[in-house]
Amino acid sequence: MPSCEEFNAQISCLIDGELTDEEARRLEAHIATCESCKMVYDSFRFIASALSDELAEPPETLAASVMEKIREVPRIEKKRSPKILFLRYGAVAACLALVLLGASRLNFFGLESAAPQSPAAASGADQFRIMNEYDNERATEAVPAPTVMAPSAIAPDPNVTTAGVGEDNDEGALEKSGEIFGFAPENVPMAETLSVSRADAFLAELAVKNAAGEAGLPESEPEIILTGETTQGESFTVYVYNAEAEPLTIVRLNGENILFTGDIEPYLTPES
Amino acid sequence: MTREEEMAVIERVKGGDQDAFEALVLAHQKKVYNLALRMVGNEADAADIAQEAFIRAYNAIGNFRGDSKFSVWLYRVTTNLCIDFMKQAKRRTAYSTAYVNNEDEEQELEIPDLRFEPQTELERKELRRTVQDALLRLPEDSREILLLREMEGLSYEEIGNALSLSAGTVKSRIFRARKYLCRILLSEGNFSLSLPSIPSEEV
Repeated sequence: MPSCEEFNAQISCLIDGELTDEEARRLEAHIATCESCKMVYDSFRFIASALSDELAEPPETLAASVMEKIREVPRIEKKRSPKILFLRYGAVAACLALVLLGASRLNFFGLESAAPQSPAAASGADQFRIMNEYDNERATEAVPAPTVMAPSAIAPDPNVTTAGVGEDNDEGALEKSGEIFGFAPENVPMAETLSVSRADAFLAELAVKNAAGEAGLPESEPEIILTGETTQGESFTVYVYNAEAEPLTIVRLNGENILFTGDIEPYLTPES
Repeated sequence: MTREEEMAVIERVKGGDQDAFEALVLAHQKKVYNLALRMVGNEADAADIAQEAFIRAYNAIGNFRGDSKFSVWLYRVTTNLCIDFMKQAKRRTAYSTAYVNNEDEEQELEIPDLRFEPQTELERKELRRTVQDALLRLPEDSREILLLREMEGLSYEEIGNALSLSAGTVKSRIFRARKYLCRILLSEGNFSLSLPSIPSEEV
């Protein structure tokens, strides 16, 4: 025969419907004859009803205000994932590619007219290292020596080594990035590499905008790391980090247009 | 809304249909609001937290894979926000002196003889209010786990999945939380005043 303390623990389960029929029958028989267990049972039941009965009505404006907030900004997917990490590497790769391939690559993106020989662009260059790479031939006297963030300077995501491999492999793209950029992240889902060239294009667009002072990126940060993630359709979300890999802001682009620049914090979901 | 219908709505939201999200808000706002209300203890903060919970859920909906019920996922977002909120506001310091310590969980539960006949509706209401106040003095994790059970009716397994705990741990923590609550009520004399007999089908 279990002790009353053991029965008490079972009473908790009985109320929650977590006993087998056999256990429930035995416990109910005990409660019927044991005053103290009956009181525990009644007490627990009262607590249960006090906590679950008579739910308050939420404010009438709740749903409307949620929907209003949601419509203010386009939705982005922001949880840091292997895909983002890869594109963080992709962003670094973009820096290197721009160094290696020079202005002809920029022309490929149709950015020639925005090349930073304009005064506005040159003034923005010191806050944006990628631009430093663009114009290191023309503007070295105006800006510090260009530096490229090494991938190791970005806090690694331990999850990346266990990331699964996507189904739509594009080994060509990964190989290509490895060849061109001199390094290739290991164990990255290969499907994600499909978006890298597009990521490069978006990042280059943003670099130009930033140099022209149009991107709304923080001015106080001398070193900025752009990372990106593709979302639905043609739009693209860029995460902007400082040199300590602290998130600063987000920018959402659609082609050449900046749709939204904003605080990154609300998009950092707490890890459960 | 059946679970299938709900998943269909979620897929639409994932696909960029903002308006579809409203159906999810309407379906879950009462539970989310009351969960926050029980967790933090006042209407204004509960309303803010409920709103933020839905916005976060919307922004993170791409992470919801349908492994669990949407409601479970949403409640977890809510309780996380509540716990963050309480930490920031240091609300718990107000209650720390009355905190029931962890060491006595193996003690037997002693409940004096206090069966009274049902009183007026007003008295029952007051007693409910007392239980909810006592709840605010539980440690946050105990409060969270008890509310997921009592308010949302989740099974031990569902709670375990949501909180990354075994069903056995969930079971013992819920029991412990109920014992804490009884002790708080006893120590304040509330239960000695009256314990309404609850209409019971089981016994």
